[in-house]
Amino acid sequence: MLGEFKVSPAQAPEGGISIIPRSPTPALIAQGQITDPVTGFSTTLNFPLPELQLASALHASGVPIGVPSHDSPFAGLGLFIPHVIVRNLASAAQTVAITVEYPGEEGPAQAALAPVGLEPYSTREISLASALGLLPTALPFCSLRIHYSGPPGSVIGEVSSIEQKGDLVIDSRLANEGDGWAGSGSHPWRLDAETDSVLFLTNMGEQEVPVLFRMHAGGVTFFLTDLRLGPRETRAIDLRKLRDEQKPDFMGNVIPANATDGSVSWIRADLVPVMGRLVVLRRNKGIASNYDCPGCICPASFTGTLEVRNPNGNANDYAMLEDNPKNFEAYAFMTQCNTSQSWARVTADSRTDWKSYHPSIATVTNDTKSKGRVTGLIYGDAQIEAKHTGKVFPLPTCTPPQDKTGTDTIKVMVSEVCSGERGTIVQEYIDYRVTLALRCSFFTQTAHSQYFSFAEMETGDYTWALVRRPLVRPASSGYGLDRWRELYGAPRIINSAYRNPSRNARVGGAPQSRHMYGDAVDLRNESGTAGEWQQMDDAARLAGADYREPLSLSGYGHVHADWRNHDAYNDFAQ
Amino acid sequence: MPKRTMVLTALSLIVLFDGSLSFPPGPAAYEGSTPCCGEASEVQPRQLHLAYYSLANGSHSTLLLVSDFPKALDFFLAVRSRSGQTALAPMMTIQPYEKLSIDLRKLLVGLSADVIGDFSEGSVTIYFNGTIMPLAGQVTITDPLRNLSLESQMIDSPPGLGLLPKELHGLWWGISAGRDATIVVTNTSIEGVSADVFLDFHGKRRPSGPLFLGPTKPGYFLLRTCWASSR
Repeated sequence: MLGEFKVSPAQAPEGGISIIPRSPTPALIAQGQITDPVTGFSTTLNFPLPELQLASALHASGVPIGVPSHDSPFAGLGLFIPHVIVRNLASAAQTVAITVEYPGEEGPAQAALAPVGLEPYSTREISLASALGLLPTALPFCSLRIHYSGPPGSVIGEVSSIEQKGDLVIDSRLANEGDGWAGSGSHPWRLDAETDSVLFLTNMGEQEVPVLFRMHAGGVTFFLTDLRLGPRETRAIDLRKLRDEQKPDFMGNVIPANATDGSVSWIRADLVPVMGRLVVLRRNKGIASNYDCPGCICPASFTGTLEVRNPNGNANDYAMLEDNPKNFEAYAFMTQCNTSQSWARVTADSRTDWKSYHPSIATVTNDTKSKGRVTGLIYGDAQIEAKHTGKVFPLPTCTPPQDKTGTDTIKVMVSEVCSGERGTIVQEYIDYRVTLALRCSFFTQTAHSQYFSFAEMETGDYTWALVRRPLVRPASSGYGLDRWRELYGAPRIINSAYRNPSRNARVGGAPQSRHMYGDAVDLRNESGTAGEWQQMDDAARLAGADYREPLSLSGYGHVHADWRNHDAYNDFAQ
Repeated sequence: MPKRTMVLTALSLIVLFDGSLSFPPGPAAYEGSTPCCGEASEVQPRQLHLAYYSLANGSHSTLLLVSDFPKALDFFLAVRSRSGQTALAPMMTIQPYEKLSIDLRKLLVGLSADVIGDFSEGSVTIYFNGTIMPLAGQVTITDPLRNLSLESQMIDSPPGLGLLPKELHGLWWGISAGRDATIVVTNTSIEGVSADVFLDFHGKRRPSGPLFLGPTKPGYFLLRTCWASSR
């Protein structure tokens, strides 16, 4: 077909195309590809956002070069020669200087190549074959910094590493160093017999930078909390190794051992430019895919419960943290999407000051290594505060970063260590994230009311149960289970009262069902009729029940009532 | 290296037109003038554009979507054909932090689209209501038999945020016998767009005739036309 163009491939093997819309409203997007159907050569051509070309330097991360070392994600794939293709958009000549950055024995190392000239409006392909002689024999990967002498945005480029035998091409999308968020956000990963996923992160700045890393798989969120990149350092995070290590994160979560799919997200936590990309390698088929995003994703707010160990050294010795509804990521960092000012991102890593308002119950550390780690000491509730000063990072085209200060608090609930069956039950409360701090003395094997025996109230898996005071109050108190029974005016059968968390889960109870708190009872509707159900519900209302399950949830089989707001939450009957 | 059997090289510029699309969030939302950083974090109609997919010559195209949003997110997926036709899939939902893998061939076959002809290649747009970029996506185009792998990069389009490029600058390289080079341009708006095209090679900028991407007349614009007029 090129013959019809009257230009042979040899005449113009490289060049540039610019499409300038006449309308001021951006509406066009473009993408290109070069493929060789016979050899399998394939590379993607990108049209970078001009608005993100804010510096006169480009960066490529995680580039295979030479014969990758045995510890490389690219090991065994062959001999790679990186090719840098640069296009001068300006009418003046300029020079391009390429620096190879690689992991040296004593930290990040660099090798600068001789600058090359770039004529106006020209495109040039630069093979780095000659650079191999300047580098150690085998490297796991490298990064490339491409500095040009013209103004920002006057050079665009591509980097492709070509395996010399199989025409396997691994593209490394170039990011402008002025786009300090390049590639951050969420990325899909895959791991199977043929497929590996590796996240490359490059610090493009001259200062150390913390990076927040989060991986999702099978409903589990896994954090790397100690990830810091030195100046000009590139780090490869092999997601297979991370999964297979089965090492718990600070919350005790591990990536499911059989996870094959998920997402990974990362974001820098300081005002230092960082770029990254996820490479998905299908080894047997010689296919490599890159995933990175042209913009940034505001990380989701963190809500939920946290779990920490208390200091007695017992593996079963846990405390519970309950997060408050605010945006919050505990431990060594916090991120949140600021919704009040703008689209923005607040980070507060080393600049977060942690404080416990109840240090006799739970302490929180402020030292760098375990910053934000909460330790439960004795049973009780404690308020933990995090004061953070971070940066609001608008989009590159927006206003400059601004300092932002905020305070978040979490409620810490520390459980006591129990032995035997009660210890097992306490562990269930932790495992099932039930936000109730427990003491051993809360459990009973005898508590009962006038009308209902302990055996009737104990509908869990164990011989111990939690029975809160409203369930044993005399009817004369005006509220509670016996009052309900009397107002109804006839004996009733308990379908379900106390449930340990495991039992609650098995019967399909709500995650925070009051049955686990010891103040809920389901009384059977013996006739199954609407009339009897209504009479029982009316009686429960008159007996002061704080919550009655609507018919749409309970059905006609029983009436559910609980007294969650009566008596102290930790007033359990013995 | 296997012996190459093809000696012809195609360098073509395919222009994909968007036909008019009456669909939420609708043109008014898209063309809004919300200032950058003003309300971008608010929930509002948004679009993700993926410039290219291909099912041609045995290729597989997979749309990978990941959610970075703590709630389930509903979205609509519109696939545009080479001729500008739109195949609209029923509403889908992505769960919090879920990864969705959507086989575009299966999807289009289910929508009775012509995957052999008009819908053998095109572009993808995703519509949803959300904050800025709770969704990320990419189309991966693979041809395992020939070891081809390409990606279509996501472009997010929150109304008024201006993340679409004002100018498009790209390059080609490594063109030789047996290699195909294709550049795809997609008009994401429902208005016609005029653009000037320049080709830079041999150290010179060569203006080509203006390009018009209208909403009503689908078609191809081949780079050879540019090339011929620039010589």
